[in-house]
Amino acid sequence: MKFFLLMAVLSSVNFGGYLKGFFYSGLHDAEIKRGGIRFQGRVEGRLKSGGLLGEFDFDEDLVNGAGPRVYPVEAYLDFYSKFLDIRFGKQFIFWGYSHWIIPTDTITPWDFLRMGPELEDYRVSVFGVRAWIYIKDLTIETVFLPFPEFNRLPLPENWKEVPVDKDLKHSEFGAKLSGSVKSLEYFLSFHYGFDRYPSFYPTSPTEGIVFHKRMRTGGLGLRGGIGKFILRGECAFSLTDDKGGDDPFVRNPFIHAVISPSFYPSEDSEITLLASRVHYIKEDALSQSYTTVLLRFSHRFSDAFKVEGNAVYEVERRSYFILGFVKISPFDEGALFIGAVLFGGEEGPFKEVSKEDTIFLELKYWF
Amino acid sequence: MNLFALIVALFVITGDEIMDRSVNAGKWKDMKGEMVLILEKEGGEKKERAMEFFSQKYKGDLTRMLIRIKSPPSMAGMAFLYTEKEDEDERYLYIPSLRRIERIAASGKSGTFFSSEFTYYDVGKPKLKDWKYRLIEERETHYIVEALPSKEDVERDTGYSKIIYTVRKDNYLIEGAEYYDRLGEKKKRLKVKEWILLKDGTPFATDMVMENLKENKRSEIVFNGIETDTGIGNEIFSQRELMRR
Repeated sequence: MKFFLLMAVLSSVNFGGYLKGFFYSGLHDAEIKRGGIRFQGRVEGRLKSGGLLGEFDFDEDLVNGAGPRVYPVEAYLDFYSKFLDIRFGKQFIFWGYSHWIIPTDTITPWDFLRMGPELEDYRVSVFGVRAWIYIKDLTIETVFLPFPEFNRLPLPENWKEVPVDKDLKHSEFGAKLSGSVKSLEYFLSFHYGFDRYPSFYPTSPTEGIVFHKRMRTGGLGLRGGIGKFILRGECAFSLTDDKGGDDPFVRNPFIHAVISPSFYPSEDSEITLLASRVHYIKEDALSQSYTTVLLRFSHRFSDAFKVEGNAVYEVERRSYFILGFVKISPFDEGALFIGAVLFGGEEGPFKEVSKEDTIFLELKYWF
Repeated sequence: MNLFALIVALFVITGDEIMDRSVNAGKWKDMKGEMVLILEKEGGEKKERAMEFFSQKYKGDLTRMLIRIKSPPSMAGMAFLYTEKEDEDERYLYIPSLRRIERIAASGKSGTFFSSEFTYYDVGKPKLKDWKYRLIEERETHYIVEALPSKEDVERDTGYSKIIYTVRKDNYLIEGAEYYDRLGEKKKRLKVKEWILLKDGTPFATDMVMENLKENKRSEIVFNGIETDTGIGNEIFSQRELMRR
């Protein structure tokens, strides 16, 4: 019996992955930031009652000489039943309908040190248990993360980060209810977690402490389609640990609202506009309300040539972030990505990292 | 109408009747199988996409379909859910590299089916009431039927101002078609290379080629392992299923 079960599992498992060469260079100083190879091995399989996925990266950054790095991108087991699905392991968890600026997307951190064309580079998967409960046309998704992960940011020199202990008292949980009325989809979500952005306590003019605080986020999202348009809207309220807005070093509670229409002129094109407003209930030097607009476009000229661009502009601080690339894939198994990440403006975080402008080239082969 | 004309009219088949027998021949409720989509560019360069598909008729004539790409490796896991609705069709796309289900605009039925020369209209079931059919020629083995849009919306939605069908006389299988664009120019030509009889006795095209006469490109869809009425559950046609590889 065990033999047959084992054979059934093995016969449904597929192996694959990719080999990639990557090269990232500073635009201003021509300093090569990253350059090397990556091998990703993937194993995936599915039976009627479950499945598995494992994606493991082997990175060798020849420029930084940090030595090989092996890590799981995602590694999880799935269990399926009629009314309940469970996913256990390291996984990406994305909530929300909008692109790039997503008020309810508070679970999976960002890696701002590795911005590029591929999501698995700039998002950090989390270890947790996720369950979906299906009741008629409603889906209830629950999430439990035993310990938190945080956004990866360039930290100032001489600043020390206070790690969060891997203790169950620092665990996170969330729940999302989703459904649809005719062609209008909706969700309600709640996440009891941590602010993925750190708080900074200066201890001297050049030194300080970086630490992490709790945050609770409740949100609502809507998505509908009319002809060649898809309209997305989201709103979330985040209650930080500085509930009264008295601590000048911790973000104050805020409301984040987004509205985003997408236009699909053809099967090969997408133009998305997004307007976002972060409104702090009480403003101070750290918690300044701001408005952001985003323009995203992609067009596939042919099977072999695609262009994608994302431009984010912060209105009050007049600063911007642009990520654009072309994908050239003369044959199905291979692709060349050439692009750039640009920052700039008058003030704000995009201005602060404006020296980090990067051009990149990636050559990828899938097997 | 004199008596002779009345007798002739009773025994002569009309374009509407031919297309009704062709389109409504299959009584199957669900279908699953595998298909290979071959894209051929001008110059002969070919690309192949292997897929599995599940299809179901629901609410009468409306169809829903889930398609999952198995190869090439760069596209494996990508899945597409199409739900035909009386007002606005719904389309969802799961993109593994983004780990997200995107809702994409319906963009009419003239949208290309996986970048091929087939459109969603071509691979779906035509709605008889959308077209006015006329038998324009009767050959020894085939009927030639002209289809004109019954209203302007249909032309705009499908991108076709006229379709000329070649229908077998013995089993009413559409064995070929010529599609005219909105300028009235011949744009594409469909040819069925192989077909089978399903278990309910109706014919089903298992190998069909669509040629784009203007751009000199062609696409071929080859079906394998077709099974009908296996009792595919409604849950297959959901976002839940879309995410599973």
